[in-house]
Amino acid sequence: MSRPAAFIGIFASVLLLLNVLLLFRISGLQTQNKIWKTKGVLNLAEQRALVEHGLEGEYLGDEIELLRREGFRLLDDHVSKLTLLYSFTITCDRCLNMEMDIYQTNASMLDETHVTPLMVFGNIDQLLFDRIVRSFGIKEFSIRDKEEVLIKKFSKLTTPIILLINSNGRILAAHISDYFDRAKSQRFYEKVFNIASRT
Amino acid sequence: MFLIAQFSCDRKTAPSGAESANKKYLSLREGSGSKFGDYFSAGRKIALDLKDEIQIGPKPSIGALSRRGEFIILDSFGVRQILVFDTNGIYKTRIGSQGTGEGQYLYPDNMFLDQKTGRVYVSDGDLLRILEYDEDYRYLSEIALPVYIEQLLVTKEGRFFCFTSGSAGPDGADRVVYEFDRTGRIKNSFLRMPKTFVPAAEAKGGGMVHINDMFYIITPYEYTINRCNASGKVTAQVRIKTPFYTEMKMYADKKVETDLNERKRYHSTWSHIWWIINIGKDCLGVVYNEAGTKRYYLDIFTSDLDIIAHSILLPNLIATPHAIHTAGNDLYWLEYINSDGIENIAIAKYSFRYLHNSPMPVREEVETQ
Repeated sequence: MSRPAAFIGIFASVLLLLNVLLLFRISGLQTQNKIWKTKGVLNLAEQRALVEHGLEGEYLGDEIELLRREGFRLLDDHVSKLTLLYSFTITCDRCLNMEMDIYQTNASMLDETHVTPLMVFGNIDQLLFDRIVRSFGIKEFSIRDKEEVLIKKFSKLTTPIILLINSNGRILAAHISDYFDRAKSQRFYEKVFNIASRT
Repeated sequence: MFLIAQFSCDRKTAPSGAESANKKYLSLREGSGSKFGDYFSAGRKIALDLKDEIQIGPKPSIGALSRRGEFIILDSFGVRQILVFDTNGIYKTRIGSQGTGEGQYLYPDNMFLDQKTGRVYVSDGDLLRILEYDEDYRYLSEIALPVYIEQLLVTKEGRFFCFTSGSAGPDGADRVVYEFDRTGRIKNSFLRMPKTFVPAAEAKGGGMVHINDMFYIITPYEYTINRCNASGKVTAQVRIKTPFYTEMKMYADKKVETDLNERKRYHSTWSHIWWIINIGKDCLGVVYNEAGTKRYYLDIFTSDLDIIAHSILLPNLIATPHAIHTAGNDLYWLEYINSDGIENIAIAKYSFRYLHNSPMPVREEVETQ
C-alpha cells in the first residue's frame, strides 16, 4: 500500500470513529433532554398539588379579621372550632354545582366531626347571592364577600378553593377544585375527616 | 349636505375570512339604534305557577317549546331539574331527575326539541352525555359526548351538531362546530376559532342557528357571522361594527392570564356576543352586551346577511347562556316579576313584526346636496 492511500485509510477510519462518537453523544443528549422536559414542566394536577401544599400552614387570620370587619357575625361562632372555609368565585357554574353536591354528601360527616362549614362568595351581586344560597339551602352559613377579601388573597385561582382552618386561622389542609376530577374533591373530605378525628 | 338615514351603513370587502365565500363588512357607525317596540309587540306575561315543593334555581332558562305548546324550563344551577309548564304557566311534570343513573343528569344546561318527532335531547355538561326522551318525556337512550358542548342542534335529517366556544375541541382542534353520530363519534368539525382568540378571553356565548339548511355561526369573541352548509363550507361571511359593540383587543398586562380581578377588568373592556337566534321564517338575530354593562342589544339580519335593524336595546331578561328562545315569529325569555312582595318568574313573549316580503325598514345612508 502506498503512503497516501494508507494516510487516506487512517483518516477515513478516524472520521468514522468521530462520527460514531458524535452520534452516541447526540443520542445521549436527546435522552437527557427528554428527562429534563418531563422534570421541568409540571402538569396541571401537579401544579395544583404544589399550590395546595404551599397553602398548608399559611396564616389566614388577617383575612378572617377583614371579613369579620365587613360585619360577618357568623365568623364569631367559629373561633373554637375547625372551619371548612369555601371560597367561591362565580366563574364556573359546573364547579360550584359539583362542590355543592360533594359537600351535601359529606355534610353529616362534617357535623359529626364538629367541622363548621363557612361559604364565602365573591364576584357576585346581592340578588344572585340570595338566589344561590336559597337554591342550595346554605343560607345559614354563607356570606357575601363584598370587599372581595378572599378573591384578593387567592386572585390567581379562578376555581373554588376549600380550606380547613383551625381556630387560630391557620390552614391545615387546602383543596383547589378540579372540575375534571370529582374524586379529588371526595378525597379532600377524607383528609378533613382524618384531621378532625384526631383534633 | 344632510343625512336622511337613520344610521349609516358601509359595505366593504371583509378584511379576512373564508376564501371564495361571499364576504361583507358592515359598519353601522352612527345613530342611537332602533327601538324594540318598532320591531316587536309585547304579548302577555305568563307567571309560572309554582307549587310549594318546586323551587327554581338562580339561572333558569327556556329550553324548548313542545309541539303541544308547553314550556320546558331548564334549571342547571343549584337545583338541577327540567320542568314542564303548560301554556298558562301551570306546572305539569318534570323530565328526568338529578343523578347519575339512566335518564338522569347533573348539569342539564342545553336542550333541543325535534319539532318533527317531538323528541327532547338534553345535554348534560357534567356527565358529558345527551339524554333522549320521547314526546311524553319518557327516557329513551343516551349518546356519549366527547367534550363539553354549549349548544346542541339536530337537523331534520337526524344529524347531530354541537357548538363549543372553548379553546380546544374534543380532538384538540380549534373548531367551534362538531358533527357526531349516535355513538358519539366525531364525523366532521368546522369553522376555526377567531385568530384574535386567547385562552384568557374564554367566555360562554355565541352559537348557531339552522335556517333553510344553512348554519349561521358566531363565536363570543368576534362579531362575524359565518354561513356554512352542512359539510362546513363557508358560503358567506359578514363582519359587523355597531355603535354599542366594542371589539375584543389583546391585553397588554400578562396578569390577565393569572389574576381573576385583572381578567374581570379585561372582560369588561369588550362586548361579548351572547346569543344568535332564529327570528321569523328566515331572519336571524345577534345579541351582545355593551362593554362592561348588562345592557343587551339585538341586531337583526336576513338569511342573506343583510341588516334589517341594529342596536335594539332588549328589555330586562334573565341572562343565561340560552336565555332567549324563539319559535316562529315569537321570542320568549324569563323575567323576574314581583307579585305581592314575592319574587316570581314569568315567561315574557314578544312577537316579531317584520314580515319577509315587506320593504326593508333599514335605510342606508343617502347623501344629497
